[in-house]
Amino acid sequence: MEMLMIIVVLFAPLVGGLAAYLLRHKGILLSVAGVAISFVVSLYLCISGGTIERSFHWLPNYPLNMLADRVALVLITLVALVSMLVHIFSLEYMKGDDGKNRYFLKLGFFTFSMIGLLLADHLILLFIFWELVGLASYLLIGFWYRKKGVPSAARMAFMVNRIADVALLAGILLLSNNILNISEFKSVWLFLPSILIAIGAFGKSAQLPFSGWLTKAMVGPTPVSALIHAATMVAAGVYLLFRVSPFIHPSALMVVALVGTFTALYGGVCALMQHDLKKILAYSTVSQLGYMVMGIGVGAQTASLFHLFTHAFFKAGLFLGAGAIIHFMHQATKEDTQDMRKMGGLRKQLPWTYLTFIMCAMALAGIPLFSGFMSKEGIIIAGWIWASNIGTWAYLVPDIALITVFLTALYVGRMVMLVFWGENRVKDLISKFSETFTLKIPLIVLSVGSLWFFYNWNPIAHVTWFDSFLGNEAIPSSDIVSLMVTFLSLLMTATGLVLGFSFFKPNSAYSQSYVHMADNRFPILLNGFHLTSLYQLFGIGIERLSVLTFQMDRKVVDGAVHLAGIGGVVISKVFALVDRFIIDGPINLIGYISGVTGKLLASFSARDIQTQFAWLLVGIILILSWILFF
Amino acid sequence: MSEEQLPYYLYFAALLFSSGVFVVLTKRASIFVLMGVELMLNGANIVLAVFSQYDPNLRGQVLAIFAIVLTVCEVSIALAILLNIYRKTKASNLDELTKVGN
Repeated sequence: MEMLMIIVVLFAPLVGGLAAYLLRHKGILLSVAGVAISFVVSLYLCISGGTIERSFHWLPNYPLNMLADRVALVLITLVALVSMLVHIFSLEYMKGDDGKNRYFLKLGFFTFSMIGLLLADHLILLFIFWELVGLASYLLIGFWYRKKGVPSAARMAFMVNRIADVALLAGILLLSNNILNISEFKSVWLFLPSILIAIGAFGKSAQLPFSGWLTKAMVGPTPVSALIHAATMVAAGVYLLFRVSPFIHPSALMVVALVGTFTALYGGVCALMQHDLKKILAYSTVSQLGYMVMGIGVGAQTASLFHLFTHAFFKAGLFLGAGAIIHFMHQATKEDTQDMRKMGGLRKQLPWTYLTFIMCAMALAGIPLFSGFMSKEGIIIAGWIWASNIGTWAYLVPDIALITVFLTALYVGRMVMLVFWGENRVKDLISKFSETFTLKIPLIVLSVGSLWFFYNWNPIAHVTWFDSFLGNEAIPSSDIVSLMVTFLSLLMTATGLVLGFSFFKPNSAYSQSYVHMADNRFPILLNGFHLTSLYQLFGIGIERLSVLTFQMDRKVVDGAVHLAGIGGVVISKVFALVDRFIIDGPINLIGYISGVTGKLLASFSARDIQTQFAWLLVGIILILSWILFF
Repeated sequence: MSEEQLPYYLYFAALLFSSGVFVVLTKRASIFVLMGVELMLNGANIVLAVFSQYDPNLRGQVLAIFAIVLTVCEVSIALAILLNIYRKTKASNLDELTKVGN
């Protein structure tokens, strides 16, 4: 029965997507229904608790395990919920698009792959779904494949992920024993496979140096960004790290912590000066994923997972809010724009979006009473305790995390001010736009999910039901540390928000001149430290190297082969000469001699009787001479 | 006949024999070849007759007379054969007589 339920959870979204693709208009609702079924069943499984473990044989005596423990079930429920909300949102968002059947098929396919990834216990099985998820991401990024720049962006996102996936596969193969089920591991791995698997996770979770693909991925439809590039798929790396963190080599774990920390800072800095609304959110996602990875690295696994959970809600809410804004801008200005220079004063036109956006943004900034505060506190406190155990330099990690809290508050404040406050920077907007039900419902659900009371009645606690539900003990923290971190973090948030408000408030100099702000201000921040150019350089380098090796191949290897061929011909000619004159010569000579002898002898007996008689006479004379003279 | 005269008899016999050989080897016509053979036989008979001077029983001369008689017979038979061959094939040259029987 449970197995049947798991199968339903796994395949319902895919079946729904197929129905949407095959049945055209009627089928789209079926795809929503498929995900809804998946959500309801997984919620039931989650509440009823218990661990479901099944293994099926891929090859004889090579079982692939699927494990649906509480962690997996909670995340599956989350994925199904966000996916369902995104499906509902897309009903309105993709209304006028010709390819919407294809779109819903891809969404269903993605949901299926993601649930499969969460269910997999065997690393190879996990890798298969990992790749399927990457493929779905590629397909959805390139959904509007006729638009300029979209295919190349999709390709870049895909290729950067592949490079990391090679590392992941290499890591899995390096483990090299028959047991690859995560739940059956006993001992700590060596450094190399640990770091390779971590690199695979970095790729999927857009950590440095792979962060560039996530901003490129923003050319896809915005609901897709909400589902894949904010809430679920990018969290797959964190999930993998969470599952394998007990076995990762301690040094590799330290690398994970540092990479996460610097990625958090990188995302925060880059988000500061973006003009593109979705790019701010993308860099913010990079930053938040950095927090999660850092949390894994410092040993706050449950806190990381909790942050993943809360982040999925508020970031999906933010992206869907951005989607509503873009939808509105599209209808108002008849062009696709995500540029904040053309927005402003949208709180009048989009009141519901404004409200929910503010709630999610507060959660992202880490204000008490919202979920983001609780989960972020847990990670930073754990980082502080970890640093106190490691040494002085390790305080870098929580310090940078606190700086990033400040940056987060700053860019959130800027974003909200520039998008919603003040006056419209484009004058000829249509005034009539109704936020339809299908747009509102997901926004409301996600923003309410970002409130504190779902997790703990105490709004500043960082210990929630999540810890006890997952059966993990919360990290014991001294009250002084947690109080201090909470205080510092609140200070940072408040400073950031106040600064953000004073810099970017509607009457400030920045806001006044913002419409005309040129693209080339802060080019380094705008381009995310040119990370994508770095990838291109890498690609060009690889291309050069291949050209070089090709030349090498043609000149050196082919030359050697040709030389060997010519040498072979020369040698055979020499041998032929030797054969003809030295070996054939004597034989021919012998033949010639016997021929001459034969002719000579034949001439004795040939012709006529008189010649024969003459020779007879010669013979007799010779015999007689022999007798007489010897 | 003294001992000193003996080589001259033998020279004569050798000359006769050599003449016979020469005729046998050079002439094409079968009749000439037969005559050459006769010359050779006469050379041989002379040698028999000469050496029988040293034999009191004269066995060599007897043998020579026997040889002459045999030669007569041989010549008569050979002539008959050659005549018959000529009648049959119209050929008298030895080179042309390459077939046995019909």
